[in-house]
Amino acid sequence: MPEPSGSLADRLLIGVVSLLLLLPVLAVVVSALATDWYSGLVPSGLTLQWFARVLAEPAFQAALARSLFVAAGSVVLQVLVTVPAILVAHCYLPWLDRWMERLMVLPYALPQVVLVVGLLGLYAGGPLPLTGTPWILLLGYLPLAFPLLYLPMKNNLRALRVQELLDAGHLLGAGDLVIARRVILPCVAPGLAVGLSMVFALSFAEFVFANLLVGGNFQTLAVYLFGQRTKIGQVTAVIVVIYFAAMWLSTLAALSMLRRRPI
Amino acid sequence: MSFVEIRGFGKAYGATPVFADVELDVAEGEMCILLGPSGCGKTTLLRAVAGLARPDRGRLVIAGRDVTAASPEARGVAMVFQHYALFPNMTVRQNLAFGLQQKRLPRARIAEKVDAALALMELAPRADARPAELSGGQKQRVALARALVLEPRLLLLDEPLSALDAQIRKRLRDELKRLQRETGFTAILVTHDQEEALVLGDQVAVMNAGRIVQAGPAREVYDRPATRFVAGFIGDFNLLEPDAVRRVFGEQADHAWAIHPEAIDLLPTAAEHGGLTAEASVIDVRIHGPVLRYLVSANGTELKVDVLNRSSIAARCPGDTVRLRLDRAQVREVA
Ligand SMILES: Nc1ncnc2c1ncn2[C@@H]1O[C@H](COP(=O)(O)OP(=O)(O)OP(=O)(O)O)[C@@H](O)[C@H]1O
Ligand SMILES: [Mg+2]
Repeated sequence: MPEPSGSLADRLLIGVVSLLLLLPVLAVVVSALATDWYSGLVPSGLTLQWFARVLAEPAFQAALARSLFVAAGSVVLQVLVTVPAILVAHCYLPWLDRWMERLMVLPYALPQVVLVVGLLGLYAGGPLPLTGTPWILLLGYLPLAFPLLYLPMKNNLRALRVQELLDAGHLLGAGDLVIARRVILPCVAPGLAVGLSMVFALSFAEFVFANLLVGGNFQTLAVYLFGQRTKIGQVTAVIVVIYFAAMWLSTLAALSMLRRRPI
Repeated sequence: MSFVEIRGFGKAYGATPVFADVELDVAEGEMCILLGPSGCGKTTLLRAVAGLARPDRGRLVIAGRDVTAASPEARGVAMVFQHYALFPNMTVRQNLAFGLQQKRLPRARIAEKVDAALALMELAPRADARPAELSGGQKQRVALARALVLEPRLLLLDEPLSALDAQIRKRLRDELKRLQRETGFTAILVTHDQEEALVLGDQVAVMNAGRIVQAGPAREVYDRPATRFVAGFIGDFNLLEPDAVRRVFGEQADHAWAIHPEAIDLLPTAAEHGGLTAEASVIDVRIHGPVLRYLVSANGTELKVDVLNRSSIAARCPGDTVRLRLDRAQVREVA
């Protein structure tokens, strides 16, 4: 975060903007703790009963577990597929790298419904019939998450002279894999940490794919929340607070990874 | 038989040749300088010797063994890269240990060698710093130490001093020379700085457009440039075409004359003299530390003349008329 500058007007502006940004979050937190909040500027009392109630709900527990599974699975899949792909393209296949850069926004340029229809068609039959299983979600998130990893990793990679590092490593008797593990990966760790925490957040909270691709078969937290929308307000507030907590924890995890590896 | 023999090396990227017919011999313990203008193929030639680029043609022998097809690490060659190529995530100590770890040396042995290298390069106080925390000269020394710690049979240096400012450059240059005297390594060093080439080189090979145009002891290359290009590139020659020779010295010449600025004497107009002479007027004087560089005009031709900067010699001013004297034996005819 940039240092607040000395001028009073600047500080006032930053204060007001921060307040505006924080207010909805605070409102949700207060709402999750309110006994009831139907009239008046403040709730009539505070209680943890909504948290207790939601956390004890088996449907909620199952949805939370599913979302955590999808988010963790997504992170693992990205580490296994996308990360090596980005490294290989950057080091050996510049033409592929250029195409990655051009095509990366495609999943965001198309309406999500179009993507869903495409994914359903792709995985309906053929060699990988995955419709209705959580695996289709993981594969569907692969292109969505790609730019989240590509951009921060490329940022780090561009600052390295990868070819010279490979040359230097070869002359010192190391193979490409050793150099990747001991030099290149540690150097891109900051970008990787940021990217993976965003992948985690995206996969944990995503709704459209989760609802349309697997929906009732595999109810994630987002879909469960959607089902609860007509019920008591405090319950949705509790779920949203749990979302915030998860995002916050994954961001913290990423930041601590950054601190551990100062470059 | 030389320690390093390069025979008929050639390489092209697609249709554009980078270097061709390169022949070079380096004796054991010798420092050979590859000198040439930017883009003439020096780095690529060095990478081919290291095994990082594959030559299309030719043979390479190091220490009596044909290593043309050997992998980089099997050649016993170490390299200092133009931009150092230090591992940014590792400390100085870890950078130096990396190559030894790949050789699977015992831990204690690695620590011993690394400590010795740190001491040799006076890097011990910065042993736990990362490259980003080092000055340019320190990075350079780490790169050199990382190469030397493997005790290579041949050390390749790609413009190791070019990224440094003049002061550190001079100091590191002397340090490099001292190291070579002490440890006796064989080296090929790339530069496009002629002074560096002359100071460091036992042998100097001048490259142009992918070919070695002249190779020999530094003294010889400086004194006897084989071509106009070498004369232009090394030693700051005055190059006089035959008709300029006639106008200035009244001599008949078949080829252009290359004359070192320090080969010409400036005399008072009335002085006694032998050898070739010419009247000239001073256009400009500059102080280059130990020498004074005069720019004079003789019959419409500009010449550079270097004179030792001694206080006993009265400096001449622009506009003065002087007499140039030149020993015919100092003239090099170049094609
Ligand atoms: N990988 C490559 N693909 C195509 N052309 C290349 C490649 N590497 C080098 N070249 C070309 O080969 C020529 C020689 O390059 P090289 O880097 O060897 O020059 P150099 O003498 O080291 O120059 P400098 O003094 O500027 O470092 C250049 O014209 C360059 O464009
Ligand atoms: Mg070069």
